Amino acid sequence: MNTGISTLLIGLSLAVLIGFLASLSVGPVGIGTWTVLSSIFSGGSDVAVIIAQEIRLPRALLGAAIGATLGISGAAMQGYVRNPLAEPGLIGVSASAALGAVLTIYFGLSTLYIWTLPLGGMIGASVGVMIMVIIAGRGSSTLTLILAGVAVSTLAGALTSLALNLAPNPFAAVEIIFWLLGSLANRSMEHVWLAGPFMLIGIALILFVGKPLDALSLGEDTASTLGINVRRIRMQIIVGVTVSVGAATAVAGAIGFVGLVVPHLLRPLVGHRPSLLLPTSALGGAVLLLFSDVAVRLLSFGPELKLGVFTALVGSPFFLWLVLKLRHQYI
Amino acid sequence: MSILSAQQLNVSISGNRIVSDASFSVSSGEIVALIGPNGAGKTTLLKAMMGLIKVESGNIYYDSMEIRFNQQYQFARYIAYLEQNSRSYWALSVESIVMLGRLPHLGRWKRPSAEDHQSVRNAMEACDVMQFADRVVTTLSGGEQARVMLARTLATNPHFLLADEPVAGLDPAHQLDVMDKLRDLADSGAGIVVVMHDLTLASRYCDRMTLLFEGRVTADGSSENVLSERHLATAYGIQAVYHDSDHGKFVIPVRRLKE
Repeated sequence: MNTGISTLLIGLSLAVLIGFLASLSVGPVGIGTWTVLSSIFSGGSDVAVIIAQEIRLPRALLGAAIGATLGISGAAMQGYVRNPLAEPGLIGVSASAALGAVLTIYFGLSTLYIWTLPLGGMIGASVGVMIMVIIAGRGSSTLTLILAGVAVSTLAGALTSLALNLAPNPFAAVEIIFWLLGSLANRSMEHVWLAGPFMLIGIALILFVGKPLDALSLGEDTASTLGINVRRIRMQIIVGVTVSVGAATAVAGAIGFVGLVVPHLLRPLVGHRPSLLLPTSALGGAVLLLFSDVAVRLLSFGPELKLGVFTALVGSPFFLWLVLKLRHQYI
Repeated sequence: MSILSAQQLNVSISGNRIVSDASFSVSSGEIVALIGPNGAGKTTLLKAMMGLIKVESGNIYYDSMEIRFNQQYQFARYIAYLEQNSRSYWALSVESIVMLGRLPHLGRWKRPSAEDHQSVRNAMEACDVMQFADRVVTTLSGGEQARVMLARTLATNPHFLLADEPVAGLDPAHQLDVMDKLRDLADSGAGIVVVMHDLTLASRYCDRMTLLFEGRVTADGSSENVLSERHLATAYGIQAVYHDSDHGKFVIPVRRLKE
């Protein structure tokens, strides 16, 4: 690893730290960074302690973890299908996680306990995971896998629309729509404990496929003659992406664009190497989501601006600019 | 002394028999040219020998070890494969592409050692791509990219190399370079299978030839025997003129035979 890459990793890590502190410091109640930091590690039932421990900390932790999940999953999917248009939702997991969560709202289960909605999302995601694993386990080609992912996404999307269509009352419909927009507001430590381990496991699984992804740059046949067990790697990527993205979607809703744009931005900085893109995209995703979540809090004067709306709104024009700027590089 | 052999292979793709009852082998130190018209099954035979395609029946052996479908990755240190029209999907540097050839030795975690870097340098020099080391591979011409991909296989220092049309698209000078390089590799003990269409180049550089026609091994042996008038007429439907020179035998296709 050369010095350029080390500098990039250190720079991104610092940015994650700054974003994390910024996320802890911003909110409707004006308590500063130091107060929040000292409150996190102290006991008591002071207002500052409660805000720090139960509102700000879970939000910042989820922002970092979900951003990292989306960034690294996007990088892994793009590396695996060898196409910069791939994104974490490509294999159907975001849509099935969203469906599971929406169903808990539809059936009125989400109001029972704080963890029923994310749990519903996790169950939805696991169904999506199982379908994809069965398809991948049969030795399907990459294209079959993507098409199957599209089918699963479409079906889950249609069922989500059906839930909206048949919503028992307008409040449930609005709640579903708002949830689908994606947000980190009002998340608790329960959300962190529920989704965090799955995101960490998924990220770890993906971090292990760096070298194989480099070999896959030359196609699957050549990669397997370079000593890569392509079938096992495919399974590892699918499980890693679905487990982590499923958990992320289950607690935060659909947050688009991070998984697509972050690997795209960082790719030229790592010499286009898929292996180096994995850790850098994890950090980059965390940075982007932490700062976006700070921005929605600063910009919300009326109803809260949803995080998923903000990332897509700011991301798309920037992405278009990037694509046009780099168009001569595409072949 | 090692041997890589296929015994009575039958391979079908989507119900079409592509390779029929083909037996084929290559030993350490020799270059075998695998020739035959388009669609004869050369690439399929090569892929089947690499365990990349499921065979209906027949066996593939690396010495006494059997190579099964999807198990090729276990032989990556010993058998290198150069895909036809091999290319990189990402804009990687030439050096990092060639370094991928060391992957079978490095595994997932080991960092490249001085020895690995030396192998990469040797391979790049051998294929005349040293001057492109830091260039992005996708910005090179087709012929240059082909040499980079060959360098990648040489960096592995394999015992066997199966190369699918490594000289297609190269200028005459680099065709000779590549064949010289394969000759060096064979002289240093590796066994090489090379798919090619240039019959003269094949007969000059290869120790043995195997002619594949409609999935069957139609002829096998010295270039003299394999490139006979009768074989060329059956397999390619051509007539050729032969010429002996100081540089070996020339085979020049001159006329297409009509049915």
